[in-house]
Amino acid sequence: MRRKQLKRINQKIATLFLICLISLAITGYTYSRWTDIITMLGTINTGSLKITIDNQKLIPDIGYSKTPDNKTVTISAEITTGWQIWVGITIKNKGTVPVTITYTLTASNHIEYEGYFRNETHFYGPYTTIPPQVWDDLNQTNLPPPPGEQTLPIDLPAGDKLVVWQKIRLQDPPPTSFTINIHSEYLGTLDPWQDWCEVIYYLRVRG
Amino acid sequence: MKPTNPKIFALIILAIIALSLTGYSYACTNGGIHIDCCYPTCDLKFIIVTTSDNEVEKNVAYVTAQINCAGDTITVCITNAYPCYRAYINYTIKNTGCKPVHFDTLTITNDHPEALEITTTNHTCIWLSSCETVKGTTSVHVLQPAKQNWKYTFQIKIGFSCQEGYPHTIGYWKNQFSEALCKSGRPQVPAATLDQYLTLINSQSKIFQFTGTTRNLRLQQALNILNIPYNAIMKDKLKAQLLALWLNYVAGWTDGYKVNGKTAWDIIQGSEYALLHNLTSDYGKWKDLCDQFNNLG
Repeated sequence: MRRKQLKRINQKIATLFLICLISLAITGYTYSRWTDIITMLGTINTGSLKITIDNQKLIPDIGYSKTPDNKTVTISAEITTGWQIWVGITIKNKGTVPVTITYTLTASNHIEYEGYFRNETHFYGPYTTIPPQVWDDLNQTNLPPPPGEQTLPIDLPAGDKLVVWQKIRLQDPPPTSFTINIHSEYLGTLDPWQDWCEVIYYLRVRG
Repeated sequence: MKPTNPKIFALIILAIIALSLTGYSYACTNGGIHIDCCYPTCDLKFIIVTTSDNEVEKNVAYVTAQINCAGDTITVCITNAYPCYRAYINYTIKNTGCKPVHFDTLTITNDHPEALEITTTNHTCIWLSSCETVKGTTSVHVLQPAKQNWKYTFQIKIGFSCQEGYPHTIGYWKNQFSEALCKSGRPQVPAATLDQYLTLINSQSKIFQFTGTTRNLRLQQALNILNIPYNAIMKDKLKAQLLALWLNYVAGWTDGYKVNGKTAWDIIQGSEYALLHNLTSDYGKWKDLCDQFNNLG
């Protein structure tokens, strides 16, 4: 019995000794090869660039159509010599970054456009709230352009609006059955990012 | 039986005192006793982080950075970024452990290099002593092809390791040389290695030249310098501590350690300059600095 007990005790001591030995070895190894890292984690969410035609006003009001995405206003008219229209639009920066607004006017037949038509375009803003003197107060009796216009390019901060007044006038008599498409395109850019909106005129000379 | 017990206890106590006194006096003649209450740990932490960007007039994009509670991670968040936007994350890393830390690796993970340019200070191969700090900057540049309404991520990992060696006292080196000369015991540093160390010191030191024709002569020469008598003059004390520091230096056990902001190399240079120019008033100062450095372990 005594021998058996002694054997058990010896086994226990040996086990404990081995455990100590192994743990010491592991501790020594980990200490001697101690390495670690520190980290920087980054998340970058990019913004968005979007411009739309927020509002429009025609003087005289001859009617228009507008796409559901508020990108294009289309005006169709039968015209005669001396015909003119003032078209006002408000361009809103609906993105999260500021944009620079520029503008181009093109016609389906540029030479004929130059020959018969005259145009003028005036820019106002940027505004967070549009003042009535550049929008609400303007009508058939109080015609544009209002004072205080800006020159392009104009920086339009996110959420702000820009007012544009454009006059198209048929100055000289064109040939009969003359038709022309005029595209007034407004471009919002921030380096390589860009967006656009436009006013299209479909004009046909009354026979 | 009872009356004999106190006598035996007294004898045992006396023996213990005598032994500890012997040990203490031996330690004193071999470089003194060094008690380090600090548990040897290795740890690096981010302690400060600030951010800035390249926006001057407009404030379109935002950058924020936070250090987690453990201090091992900075989380950077940039919102409303756009092409040409550049954010800067300025951070400070501190060695909060007791041992020097070596910057081993720098890994930048950027899955969209066409849209993001990540640059960061490269700390690789530098040492950071205990309590020392180092500053760095990470730059995040949004490039032209970056998409709108997109989420990009990046990761920077700075790998580091602990200094495995540490400076040893003059006593330690005396023992190594004594044992290498077969006077007693078994050396932890083999005789051939000690001789290599002396060769390295020969090539760099302006004070020490171990010119013995045999290895034993060279080792003996070094031991003679280390083995200064108790009443030695300050110049010899300085030379003994300086040689111990040189040995620690060539053994690679001084990397990352500093005393009063001075590296081992600074102290070696200063001590040798003082010895070369007979700046006797500085001997004590440099001896103490060498001594402190040798006792850093």
